[in-house]
Amino acid sequence: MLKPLDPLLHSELRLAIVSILIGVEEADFVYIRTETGATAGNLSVQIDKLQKAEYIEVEKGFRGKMPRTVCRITDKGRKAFADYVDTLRGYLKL
Amino acid sequence: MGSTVSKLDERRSIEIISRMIADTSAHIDRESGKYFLLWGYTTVIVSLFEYVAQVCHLPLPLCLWAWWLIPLVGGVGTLILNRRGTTRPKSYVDRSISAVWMVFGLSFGMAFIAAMVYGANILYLTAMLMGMGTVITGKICQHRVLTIAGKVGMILSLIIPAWHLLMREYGTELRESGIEPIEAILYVEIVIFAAIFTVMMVIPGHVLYNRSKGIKDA
Repeated sequence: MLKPLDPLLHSELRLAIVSILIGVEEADFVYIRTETGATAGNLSVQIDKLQKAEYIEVEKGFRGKMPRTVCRITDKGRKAFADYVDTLRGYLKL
Repeated sequence: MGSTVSKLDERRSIEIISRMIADTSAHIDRESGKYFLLWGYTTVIVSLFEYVAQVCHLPLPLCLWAWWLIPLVGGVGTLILNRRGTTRPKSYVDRSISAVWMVFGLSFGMAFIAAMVYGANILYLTAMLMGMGTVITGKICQHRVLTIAGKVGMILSLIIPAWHLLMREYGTELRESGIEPIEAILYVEIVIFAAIFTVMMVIPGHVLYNRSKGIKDA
């Protein structure tokens, strides 16, 4: 019997956010928005959900006079992503 | 992906994961390519200008000061690229590469002092050090093109002191032979230096930039 996929990651935008963050130390909100093609509002909502689940951490600050939001994946998020990929492999019999 | 928060099937999940990871990696490659192009082209253009200046007997202060354009243009350009790239993701690879080039920048400073004080061959030392930096960068980001280019650069850098020695040995004879302008032969080491930077930085810079662009456009 296969494990169910983590519902928090099994959504297109949230999975894309975590997939970007998995390979980098940190990524800017603007970069994630450009790469995913999401609207700022929707992206904020999904980032907030991932942050509440402690999959990512968000740091709001300034670069010069411009506000800047930086996202980083947490250890919990990294493990959740690894489990998600393992479960996917089971579904796809890879 | 747009504004949807739709559920997805397993194959689409794999597709998203692969694409996001590949795009982010391509983005990092493209940015690295820009730095190689900046430093590579600056070094090649300034070196060729230096060669022409020496051959055409331009005023000595101009010849000496023109070399400073490399750190000046490269440094200011790097600052501009860093500032422009504030939204790009920062990776562990980025941090390692920055540390490597910081150390090699420092080594170049030491080599420069050695050249000023003891008359060490600065062109050879620069080409050798930058070759080493390129090889390490290639190893860190697993780009064979950089590793090979760096190694080739290191090997080619040996031609510079060889030419220097050759000119010291036969320079007087050449001057007496009446070849004009003699500087065209004496300063060929500057052209070799420019050729090394073309192989070591300009070509791999273009390869990195174009390849990452190809991945992104696909």
